[in-house]
Amino acid sequence: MTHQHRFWGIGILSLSRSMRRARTNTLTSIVLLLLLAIIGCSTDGANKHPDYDRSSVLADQANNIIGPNFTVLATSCESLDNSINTLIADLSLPHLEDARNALLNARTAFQKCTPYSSFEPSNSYALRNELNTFPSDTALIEQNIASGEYALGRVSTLDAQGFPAIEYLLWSANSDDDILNALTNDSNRRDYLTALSARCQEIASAVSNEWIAYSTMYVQQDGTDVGSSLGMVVNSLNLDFEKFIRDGKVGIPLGIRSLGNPLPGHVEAPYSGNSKALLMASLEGLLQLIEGSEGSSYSLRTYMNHVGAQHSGTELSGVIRNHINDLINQVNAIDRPLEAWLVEEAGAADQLYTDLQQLVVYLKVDMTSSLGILISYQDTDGD
Amino acid sequence: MAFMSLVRFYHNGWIQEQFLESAFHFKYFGFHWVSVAEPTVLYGLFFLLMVSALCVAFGLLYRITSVLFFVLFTYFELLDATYYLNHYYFISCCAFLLIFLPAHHAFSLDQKLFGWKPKKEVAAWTIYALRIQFTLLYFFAGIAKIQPDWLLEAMPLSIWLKARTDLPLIGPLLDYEATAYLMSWGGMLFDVLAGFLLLIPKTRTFTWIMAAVFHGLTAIIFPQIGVFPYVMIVGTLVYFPWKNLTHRIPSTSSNKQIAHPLIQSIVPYVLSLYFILQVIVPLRHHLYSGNLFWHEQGFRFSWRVMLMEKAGYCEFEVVDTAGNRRTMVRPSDQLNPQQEKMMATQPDMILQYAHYLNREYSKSWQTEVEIYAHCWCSLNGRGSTPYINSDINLAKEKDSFSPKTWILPFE
Repeated sequence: MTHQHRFWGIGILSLSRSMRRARTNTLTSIVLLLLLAIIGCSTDGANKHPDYDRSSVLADQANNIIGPNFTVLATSCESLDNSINTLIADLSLPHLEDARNALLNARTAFQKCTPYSSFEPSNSYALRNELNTFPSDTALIEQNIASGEYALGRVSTLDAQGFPAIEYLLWSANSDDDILNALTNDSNRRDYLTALSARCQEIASAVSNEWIAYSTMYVQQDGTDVGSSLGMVVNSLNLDFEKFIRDGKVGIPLGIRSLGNPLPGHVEAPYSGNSKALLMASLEGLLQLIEGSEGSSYSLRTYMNHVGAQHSGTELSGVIRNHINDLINQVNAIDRPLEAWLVEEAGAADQLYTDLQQLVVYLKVDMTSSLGILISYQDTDGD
Repeated sequence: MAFMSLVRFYHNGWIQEQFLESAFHFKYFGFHWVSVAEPTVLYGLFFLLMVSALCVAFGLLYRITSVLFFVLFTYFELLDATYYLNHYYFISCCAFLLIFLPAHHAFSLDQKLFGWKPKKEVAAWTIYALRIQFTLLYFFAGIAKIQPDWLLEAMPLSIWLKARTDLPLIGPLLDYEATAYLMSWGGMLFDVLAGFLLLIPKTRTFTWIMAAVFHGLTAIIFPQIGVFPYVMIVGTLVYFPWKNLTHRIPSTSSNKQIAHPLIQSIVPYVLSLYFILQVIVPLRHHLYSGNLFWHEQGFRFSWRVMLMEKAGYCEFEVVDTAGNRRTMVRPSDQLNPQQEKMMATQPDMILQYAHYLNREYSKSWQTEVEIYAHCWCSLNGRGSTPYINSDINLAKEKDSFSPKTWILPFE
């Protein structure tokens, strides 16, 4: 070799010199020719799709799904807070009914927001933990009422606040009269109830307000790595579905974490009998997030189609849609409170759990993998 | 180079995340005895590793620090198989070779400090040892790409490139199937040929420029592969001759002062054995039937890089038949997302985790338990299918080099 060099500058000169020489080398030419041949072959008929704009998917999610759903949550929490205040001002049966309806509305709105509650702004407000930690610690609720000393939002208070705690105060006694009497006779109880609904409203409106500023950034981060919006929302909906829907709403009451002994009291809404409706709302919210807003051509579904995601020879997006619809039908067919059904119809309940499990696989394995979404910041070899 | 990588590792907080926060660590077969040290000791060792990397680079106390660097670097690698990366393994391999090379003979601090005379020449084998290592890497990485998914389906590049369309300039190109095919074939040809073209003087410079472009491109498109492209771009400079160093062929015995004669005499045997292993290990997968990417027996340490998009999901069922107790275990409760992801696609790790659950539950339930894995896996966009036979009690299965019969066949 002759191109010896002491300095980098000379090195570059000698590099280009030897490059010219190398171009004449036959071996190199063969490589180049092969590369050209491949360009020629593979461009034939392979340009089947135009650019697909991921940021349009994010824009649809941000403007037509996440934003509106946060707004509905904020307004329904405000209505809940108003109804509770009306009830406290005049403890009557119609006002109790109104407050109960307002609670169901707010909780239904909340289910639509959980798939994106693991990133900002929900995450820093601990939206899920503040509003919906269940089952409630009823002893702690009574203790807080008796002492009148508590700080909502503390980790130690989370299972004595939020929707489940309000439900406990509005439903748990033997009769409606007992509930009204308990409130009439105890100003601490009334104060606790109003503090709970005020806290829900405060958190929900803060998240909703912050989303407005955050949504611009959400649309801009249109990559697929961990910090990207698509990465965040897919990882967040996977976590939500696996841990809080499959396990929290069905698996744990079925006994999957308690040595096979069912814990029907651990359903989401044990006093009101609304667990089934809330489970439905969760599945509908998930379906909406995947399908995109009404008529939108940019959604997780169309993105899966765009990259040609398949499962057992058909479009993955169709497999997922059918599976979620099947789950909705199964839940719809439940003819009694979820906690009773889970125990009395063990066979159907096991089937429901198995099908929820299958959806975890479709979402976490098939969807995530086909979209090339990374799950962590670690380096990988791609294996 | 290695120092920068270590600084990055430290800076990213990976010591904490990878080694200290997890309750459980996956081990390499035969290296279960390697355990995570106390946090202070661990950070101390890491600091020592960084120092030794610098010492090796500047040739300070080279004979000692090169051994230290190899041992410590390999120790950190062996702590958790989750974080196995071909290029960390590669650095270990090179570090091992460096122990035997007189890399401190010119331009080194040792020379200045101890007043050694700079050697203008090194034995040719010392340079060729590193070159052979690089050539083996390229070649095995290349032939690993000669398979239907890579060449005929452009998988997994087809999935990965479409996920990167947000890149400036090249982004829009990545959406085309043609780009994925072009890069698959180009990558294969490059890898197969580069190691040899770099050995030939006439093609060396051109190939190196190609390598710089190729690795630079992968660094931009796949930032998750970390420092690997930079290691290769700088590392392949070893193919170029230096003016100040001339080769002497053949010579292992001329540099009398560098080592004890006994050590000198065994070096050729050690290196021969080493390179024989380097050839056999990447080929060992031929001993197993079925799809290598599916069962992954013989997958690691074989320079199989960026070859598959594999994702899985795993849950475990713990059963106490006598006591009629059963519970489901969600691995994400104990493992971090990376550990969970890696385990779900690698049978030996699934088995390790099953054994861990066996130990934990046998202890807490005070009885013998059975462990069943419910796993699904998807390879290169084929769609998820069951991965592990969920009727087999994994607590009773042993890890070994013999074929794992509890992996369901690839469909």
